[in-house]
Amino acid sequence: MARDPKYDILFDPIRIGPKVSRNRFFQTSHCAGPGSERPGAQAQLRGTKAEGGWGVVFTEYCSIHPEADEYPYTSARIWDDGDVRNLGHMCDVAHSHGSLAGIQLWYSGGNAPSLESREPGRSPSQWVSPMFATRSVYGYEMDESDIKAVINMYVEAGKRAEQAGFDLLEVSAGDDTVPIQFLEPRFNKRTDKYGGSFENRARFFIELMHALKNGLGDRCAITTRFEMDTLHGPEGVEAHEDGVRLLELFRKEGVVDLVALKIGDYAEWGEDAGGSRFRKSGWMTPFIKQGKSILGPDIPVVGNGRFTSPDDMIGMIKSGVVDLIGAARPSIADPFLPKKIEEGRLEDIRECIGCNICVSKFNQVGQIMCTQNQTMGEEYRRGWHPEKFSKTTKPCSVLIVGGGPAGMECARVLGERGYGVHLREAEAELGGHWKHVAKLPRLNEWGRVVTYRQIQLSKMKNVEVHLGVGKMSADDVLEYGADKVVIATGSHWWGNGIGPGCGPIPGADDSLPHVLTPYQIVQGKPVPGKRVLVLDGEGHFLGITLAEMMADQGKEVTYVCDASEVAEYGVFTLEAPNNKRMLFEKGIKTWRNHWVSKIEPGKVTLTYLYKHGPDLLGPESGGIPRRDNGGDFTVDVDAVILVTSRYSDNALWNELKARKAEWAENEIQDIYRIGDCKAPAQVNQAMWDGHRLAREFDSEHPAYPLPWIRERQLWGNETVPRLGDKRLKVEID
Amino acid sequence: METRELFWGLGASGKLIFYVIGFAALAAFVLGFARNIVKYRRGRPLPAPLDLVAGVRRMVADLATHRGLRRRDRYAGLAHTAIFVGFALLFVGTTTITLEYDILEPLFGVTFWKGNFFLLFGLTLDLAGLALVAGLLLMMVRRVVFALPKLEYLRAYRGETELRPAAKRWKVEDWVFLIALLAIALSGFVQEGVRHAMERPAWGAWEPVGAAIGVLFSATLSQDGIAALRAANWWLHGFAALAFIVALPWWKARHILAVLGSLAARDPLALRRLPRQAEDAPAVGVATVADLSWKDMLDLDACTKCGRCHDACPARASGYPLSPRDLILDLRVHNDAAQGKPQAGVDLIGAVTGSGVIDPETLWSCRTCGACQEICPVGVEHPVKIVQMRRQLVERGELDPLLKTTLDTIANTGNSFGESGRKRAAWTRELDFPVKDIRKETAELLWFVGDYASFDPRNQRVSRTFARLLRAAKQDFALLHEGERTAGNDVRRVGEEGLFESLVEHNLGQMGAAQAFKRIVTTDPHSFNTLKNEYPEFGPTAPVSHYTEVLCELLEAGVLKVKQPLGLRVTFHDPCHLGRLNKRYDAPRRVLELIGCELVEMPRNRDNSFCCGAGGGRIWIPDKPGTSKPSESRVHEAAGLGGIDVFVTCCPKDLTMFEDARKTAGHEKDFVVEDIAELVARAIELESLKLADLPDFAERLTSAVADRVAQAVGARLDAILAARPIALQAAVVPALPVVAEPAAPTISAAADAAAVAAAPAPASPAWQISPVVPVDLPAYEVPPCDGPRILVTVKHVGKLGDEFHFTSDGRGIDSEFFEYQLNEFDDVALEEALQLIEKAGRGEVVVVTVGPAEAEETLRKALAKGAHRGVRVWDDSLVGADPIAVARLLAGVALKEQPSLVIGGVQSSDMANGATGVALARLLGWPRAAVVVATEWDGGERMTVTRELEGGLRHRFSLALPALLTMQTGANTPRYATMRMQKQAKSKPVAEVAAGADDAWASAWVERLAEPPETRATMLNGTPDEVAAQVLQIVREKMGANA
Repeated sequence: MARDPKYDILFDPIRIGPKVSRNRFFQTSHCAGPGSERPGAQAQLRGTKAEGGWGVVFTEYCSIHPEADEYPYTSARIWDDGDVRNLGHMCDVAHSHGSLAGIQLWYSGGNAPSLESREPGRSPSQWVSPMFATRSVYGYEMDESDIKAVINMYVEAGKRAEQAGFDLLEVSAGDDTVPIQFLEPRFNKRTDKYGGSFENRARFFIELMHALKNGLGDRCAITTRFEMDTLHGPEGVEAHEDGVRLLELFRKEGVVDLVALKIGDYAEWGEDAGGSRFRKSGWMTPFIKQGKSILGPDIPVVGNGRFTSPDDMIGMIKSGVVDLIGAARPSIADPFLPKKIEEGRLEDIRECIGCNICVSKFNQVGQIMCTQNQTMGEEYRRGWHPEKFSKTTKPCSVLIVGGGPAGMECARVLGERGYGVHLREAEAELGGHWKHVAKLPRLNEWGRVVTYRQIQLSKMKNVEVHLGVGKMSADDVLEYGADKVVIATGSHWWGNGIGPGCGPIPGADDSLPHVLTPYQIVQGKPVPGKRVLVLDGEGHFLGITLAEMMADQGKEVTYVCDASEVAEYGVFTLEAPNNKRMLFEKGIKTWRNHWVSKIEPGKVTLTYLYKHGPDLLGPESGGIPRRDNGGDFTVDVDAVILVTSRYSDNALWNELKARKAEWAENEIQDIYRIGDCKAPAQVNQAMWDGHRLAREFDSEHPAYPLPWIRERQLWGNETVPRLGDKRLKVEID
Repeated sequence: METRELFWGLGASGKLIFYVIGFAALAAFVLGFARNIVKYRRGRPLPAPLDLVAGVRRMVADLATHRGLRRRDRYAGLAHTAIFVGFALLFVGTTTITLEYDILEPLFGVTFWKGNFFLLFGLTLDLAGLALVAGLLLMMVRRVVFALPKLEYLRAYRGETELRPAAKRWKVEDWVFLIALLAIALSGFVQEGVRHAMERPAWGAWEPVGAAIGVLFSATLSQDGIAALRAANWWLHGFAALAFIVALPWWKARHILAVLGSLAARDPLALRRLPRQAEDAPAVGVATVADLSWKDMLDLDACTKCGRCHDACPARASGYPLSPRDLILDLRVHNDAAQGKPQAGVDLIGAVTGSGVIDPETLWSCRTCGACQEICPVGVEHPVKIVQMRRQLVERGELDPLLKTTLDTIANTGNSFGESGRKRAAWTRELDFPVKDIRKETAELLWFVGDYASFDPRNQRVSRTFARLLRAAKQDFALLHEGERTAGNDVRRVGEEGLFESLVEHNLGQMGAAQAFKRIVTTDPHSFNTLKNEYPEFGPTAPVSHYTEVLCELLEAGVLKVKQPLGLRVTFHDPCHLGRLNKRYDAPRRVLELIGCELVEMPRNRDNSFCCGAGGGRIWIPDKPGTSKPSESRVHEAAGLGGIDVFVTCCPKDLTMFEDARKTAGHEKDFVVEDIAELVARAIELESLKLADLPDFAERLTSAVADRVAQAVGARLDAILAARPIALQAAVVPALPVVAEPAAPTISAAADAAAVAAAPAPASPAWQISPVVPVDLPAYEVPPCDGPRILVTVKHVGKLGDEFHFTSDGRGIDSEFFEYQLNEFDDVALEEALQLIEKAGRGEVVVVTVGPAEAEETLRKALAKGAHRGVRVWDDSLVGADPIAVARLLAGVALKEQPSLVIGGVQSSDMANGATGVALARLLGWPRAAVVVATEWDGGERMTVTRELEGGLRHRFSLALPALLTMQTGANTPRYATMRMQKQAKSKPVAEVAAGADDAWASAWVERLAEPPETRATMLNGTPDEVAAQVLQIVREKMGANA
C-alpha cells in the first residue's frame, strides 16, 4: 500500500556536503556493543536499519586514537588498518541498501580511562575526570603542538574512515569530548589563545573543523553532533549564550555540512537519551528550534526527540525546526520504521517505549537489547531479521497459556512462522502484569508493548486470542487438543519479604491488611493509613514508581532499599539523576543500604546493612564474626509495600511435568515454558525468551537455544597491526 | 515696619563680587540651557500636531497635583511633593526679593517686602524650607533603608554582575543631588538662625525655624562667633545656590526644566496611534539620534531614573534584556555625547558588544504593552521609540527568521496562520445559521473578527459563541468574510510599516466597498486599537467598539437576559490594548457583575495590568528556552488569589497565552481560562438552535443534500432507467394456516405452492411482479433428531481494514482487503442455541449459511464450537443478493429442517440491514422477537424472551414455538473452540445445497462506491482530564446552554 502523500516530505533527498541522503531519516550514532571487534554484528545491525529505510546510519561513538580508549565500555575504534577492514564491512552493507554510512569521531582526552591502551589522554587543562572519578583519571594539558597533534589525529582518523567507506565524518562535540572541553569554562582554564573569551574557547573546535574540511571536505560530508546546552549553567555551554554563538560561528565560517543538535553532557546523558518516564517525545525541540534559527536554511539540522509518529516528524520539518529526523531508540525498536511509513503501514510500527533498556545494556558492558524488538543485536549472530520469519516446514497446533509479554511475543512469532496458535489469557485483557504496569505513574508509553502485539496478533488468521477464559488446569491443557504447549504463566512478588540474598521478613504476610504486594495494589487492595514504606529489592522501576504513586496519593512515603543507590538500575537506564530529583521534590524519605528486619502493625524495624564493625572476631559457631555496633531502629508506618523479589508462577508447569506420561496419550508432542514462569527477569528478557523459542520451534531441542556465531580472534590468523609496526606520527616537531 | 536687610554687613566690594559671580553663574546657566535648546532643535518635528494649550494645562495639573508621582509609590510621591513645593516656594521667594531689590526699587522706588507681607513671606519660606528638608530626608531614608530594586542600576536581568561605569556615576549623581539641595536648605536656615540670634526681632515668631535656631545659637555661641558664622555661612549659602544654578542644565537637576517640556508635549495618543513614517525623513524609523524628534530628546533629559517603568515592564520581569529605564538612559548618555547629531563609529542600534548603543535583542523584547509610558511620571514615551527603532531593523532586514516568515505569510495570505484567505470565515460553518456578508448585505454591526478569533480552533469556539450571542440578541451583524485581513496592529508594532499600510489599504478598501453599516465591533483588542485609533488617519471608518462593550449594552438593556447567575469566583485580566491603551476597564467588569460572577481582582489590574507577553508581535517570536514567560507570572498571580474558578479573558491572544501558561505553570487544577463571551453564554443559557431557526437550518441542510444528490445521480438516471428493465417484487403473504395458539408447527411445501398460485398476474409486460415465497430447495439428508432442533443462521462477513481500494469498476471492494469471519451477532445466536440445547440435554443445533465455498470456514467454526450439523446453500448467481433473497433461501432450509426455533443475529456486521431475520419470520409466518438479550425455555411449546429497547428499557414476553429470534450482542459470551473441538469439527457433516440460478436474487445493485467526505474531526490532546474538559466544552458548544 502506498504511503500517504502528506509524508512525502520525509522522503525528500537531502544534500549533505558532497553526499546526498535518499531521505530524511537519520540514525544518529548509538552504542550497541559490537564496536569494531564484532564486524559482523556491527554490519548487520546497522545494515538492517539501512534495509529498513534509514537514509543515514551511524556507528556508535568511535575512538580516533588509543589515547581515547574507552575500554571496558564498547566504542568503535578507527585506530588502524584492522579497524578500516572491520568497519568497512558495515559501510559496504549500508551502501548495498542505498544508505549513507556515518562515523562519529570521538576523542575524550582527559576523560578516557584507557584501561586497554594505558595511554593518558590530552585535555585543554588538567583536572580529575568528573565522569570516571572513582578511577582517578587525569589527562595532561595540551601545549600548542599537542593541539596540532590532536587535530592531526582527527584528520588521520578521518582519512582511515574515508578509506573504510564512510560518507559522513561526524565530530562528537558533546558527552564531554575534547571540542566541548575547550568550549566549557569548567574544563578550559587556559590563558593562551585557546582559553578565556568565547572566541578563544571556540578556536580549537573551529580549527579542527577547518582541518577536516580542508583535508577531506571534497570527499566526505563534515558534520558535528553538538551539545548546544550542557545543562551546567554558565560554567558549561548554555544554549542562549555560547550555544548560539558557536552556531553563529559555524554559519560564518562555513565549516560544517550538517549539524546534529542535542543537549545534556555525559552526566546528564539522560536529558539527551531521555527515558519516557521523564521526557516525552520532542522534549528538546525548543533548543533545536533556536539552533536551527541561527544556522539558517543552508545548513541541514538533525534533531532527535524519540519521534515515532510520522505526523510529529512532518510537523518538525514543516515548522522549520529540523531538516532530518534524528533517531537512535526509535530505530532500535523498529529498524523498518521508514519503510513502514513509506508503505503506509503505520499500525505496524513498533514504537519505542522509552524504557532505556537498550542503553542500560551498554552501561552494563553488555550487548544491546530492546524491549520492543527482540531481534536487536541478533541480526548477525543468530540470523534474526526483524521483519522476516522463516515459514515452518512442520506446522502444528500450539497452545500458549498466558497472554503476558512473553506469551504474546511467542504467539506473534509462531503466528508469523505459520503455526496454528491459540493464545489463552485468564483475564479479559491481554498483557499479563504489563497491563497494570502501563497504568502506573509515568509508564503509560510502556503500554505500547501490549498494543503493538495485540494489533499484530489480530491480523494473523492462524492465531486465535482467547480472553477471559480463566486459569487453565493441567487437565484443561492436556485435553485441549494442541500438538505443542507453551506455558507462559509469569511470576508474582513474594508476599513474605524474601529479597536479594535474604529470607522472609518476620511479620511480612501479605494476607495482613498492612502488608501489600504490587499485584495486590493494582488489584485494588486498600493501602491503610497515611504513612507507607516501600521496600525495594530489585532496584528497577517498580519500587520507585509505587513510592511516587503513594506520594501522589498524599501519603508520607519512606523508600528503603538494600542498594547504595535508589532504584539502582536507573544508573544504567540514565534515569538515576531524575529519580533522585523526583524523590527529593516529592519529599519521599529514602534509606539506602538498609533492609527491613521486622514488620509489626504500625511500625517496622530497619537494619543498617553495615552495622557490624570492620574488625574480625574469632570464629564463633552460629554468630557473625563481627562486632554488632547496633544500627537497628524502628520507623512508624501504617503500611508496607514489598517489592522485594519474585517467584515463578510454575504450578501448572510442575503438574504437567509430573504428568509427562499423559502427554502422548493426549497427542501432545512437547511442552515448554518461557519468560518469568521459567525465571523472573526484565520484560525484555522474558519476551526474548518467547521470541527465541518461537524462532527455534522446529529445532531438535527447542527448550534450549541453538549455538550462535561468536566473533572473536581465531588462532592462527594474521593480526593487524603486527608487533613491530610503526606508530603513525601525528605530532609535529 | 517689619523687614530685613539684604547683604547684611557686606561692603560695596563684597556686593560687587557677589553680583559679578551671580551674573557669571546666570550666564553659565543660560549657556547650558541654550546648548540643550540647540540640541532639541536638531530633533525632527513632531509627527503629529501639538495641542500646546491642552498640553500646558495638563502639565500644570500634573505638577500641581503630583498625580503621576503618587501612583504605586505613595512614599516617593509624598517626598517629592515636599521637595517640589518647598523648592518652588523658595525659588519664587528668592525671585520676589530679586524683583524688589534689583528691579522695582532701583528703577521705580517701589518696595513691598515689608510689613505684613514680609511676615507672611517669612513664615511661608520657613515652612517651605522645612518641607524641602523633610522631603530630602525622606528620599535619603528611602534610598538607604528601603533598598528598592527599581532604584538598582545593576542589569541583573541581562545577566550582568557588575555596574557599568555610567551607572556608577548615576549612583553618585543621585546622592550629590540630594545632598546639594539639603546643603542649600540647611545653610539657609543657619543664615536665618544667626540673623535671629544677632537681631532678635520682635516679629521673630513669624520665622519660627530661624527664631528657634537663633535661640540655639545664642545659647551655645558667643556673639563674635555668631557674627563670624553669619559672614562665612552667607557666602557658603550663596555659592551653593549659584553652583546649583550653574549645574542645572547638565545633570539630574535638568529634569526640573525638561519635564516642563516633556509633560506639555506629551502625546495623549502615544502608542495607541503610532506616528506615520514621514516621507522627507532621511531614514526609516530611527537609525541615529538625528532621527529622534525634539520631544524624544526632551524625554531623555526628563528621566529621573525613578524606575517605575523598570518595575512595570513584563519583559524585564521575565528576564528579557529590556528595561525601559535603561533604554532611555542609554539613549541619553549617547545623546549627551552626540548632541542630536549622528556620531561616527557608534551605531544607535547594534550589538552592545560591538559599537552599538541599543541591542536589537533589547528592542525585540518589547511587548508594546505600554506599561512603561503609562506609569512614567515625566511623560516619557518609551514604546514609540522602540517601534521607531524596530522600523529601522525591519528596513535592514535584521529580524528573527520566524518573525520574518510570519510577516511574509501575512503579506501573502493576509493572516498570520498561513491559511488560505478563503477559509477566514470557515468557523461560521459550524453555526446553525448563516452569517451575513457585509459585502453583499447591509447590517447595523460590522464584526471585524481578527486572525486568532478566525483561525485558532480554541478561539473559533469563542467566535461562534459570540456569534450566537449576537444572534440571540437579534443583532443585525455581518462579517467581511474573506474580505478581511489582519488588521495590522501588531504588524505595525513590529515595525513593518509598509505591510501595515497595505493591510490598512486593503481593509479600508473592503469596508469602503461594502454595504452600509453603522458601527464596527471586534473581539480582538489589538484590532480594536488600530481600527479605532489608527485607521481614521488613512480613511473614513465607523465607530469601533470592543465586544465587551456590546455585551455590556445588551445585558444592561435586557436584550440578553441572565437566566442563570453563575455564582463563579473569577478574576479578570485587562488586555493591554483594551485597558491601558484605550482605558476600557469597566465594560468587562460590568458584564461579569451582570452575569453574577464574583470578581476578585489580581494585585495588578486595570492600568497596572500585567501583559500576557503576546503583544507587539512577540506572539510570533519564539521565547528562548529556559526563560519564564510573562503569562506564567500572570497565572501565578491569579493562582495566588486562591479559590478562583475562572480566569476570564476578553482577548484571543490572552486566551491562547493563558491557556498555555496555565498548563506550563502547573495551575491546571487551580482554575480554567475562559473567554467572557463563554461565561455570558452560560449565564443566559444560550441555546445553539432556536425553534424559529429550524426552517432556515433545514433549508440549508436540504439544499446541500439536494446538491449532492443531483450531482451523484444527475443525467445518469435516465440512461440507467432506459438501459435496464426494472423488476419490482411485491411481497405476498403466503396463504399459510393462520398460526393460532397453541398452533402446531406445521409447514408444508403445499402451502408454498398455494402461495405461488395466489400470486397476482403481472401488471404490465415491462413491470414483472413476482410473489416473495420460500425457495423450494433440492432435498438433502436431514438425519432424525431426538429432541428439539434449533436452526442457527450464520453469515460469513467481510471485515474491512483501515485501508482499502475499490475495484476498477467502482462497484465493489477488492477481496484482498477483506478478512472474513463469523458475524459477531450470529456468534451470540449460536452460543444461545448451544446453551439451550445443553440445558435440554438432547436435541441438535444446525447451522445454516447462504454463501460460497469459503463460507464453509465459518460453518466449521460454528461446528467447532459445538453445532452438530451444517448446511450451506449457494449458487454463483447469488453474488449481490439482497436480504429478501437470502431470507427466501433460509426459509427453504427451514421448511426442510422443521426446527422448533430459528435463531439469528440482529444484523450482519458488514451490511447492517437487519432485514434478513424479520423477512425470514414473515416468510415462515412465525412469531418473532428481535433484539433479544435473554431467553428462558423449558423445552415446552412456549418460551419467554427479553428484548432490549431504546433507552435501556427491557421487554419481556412469551411467544409460541416455532418462532424466530434475532440476538443482540452482549446477550451471552460466545465460547472459544479448543483445538480438540476444531479437529473434531472437521469430521462433522455439512450439507451443500444448490440454490439454483435466478436472475432476480438481487433487486438492487451497486452503481458506484465513494469514500465519504472528510469530516471536520479534530484531535483532542492532553491528559484524560483535559480531554474530558475539551469534550465537555464541545458538547456544550454543540448543544448550547442546554448541556
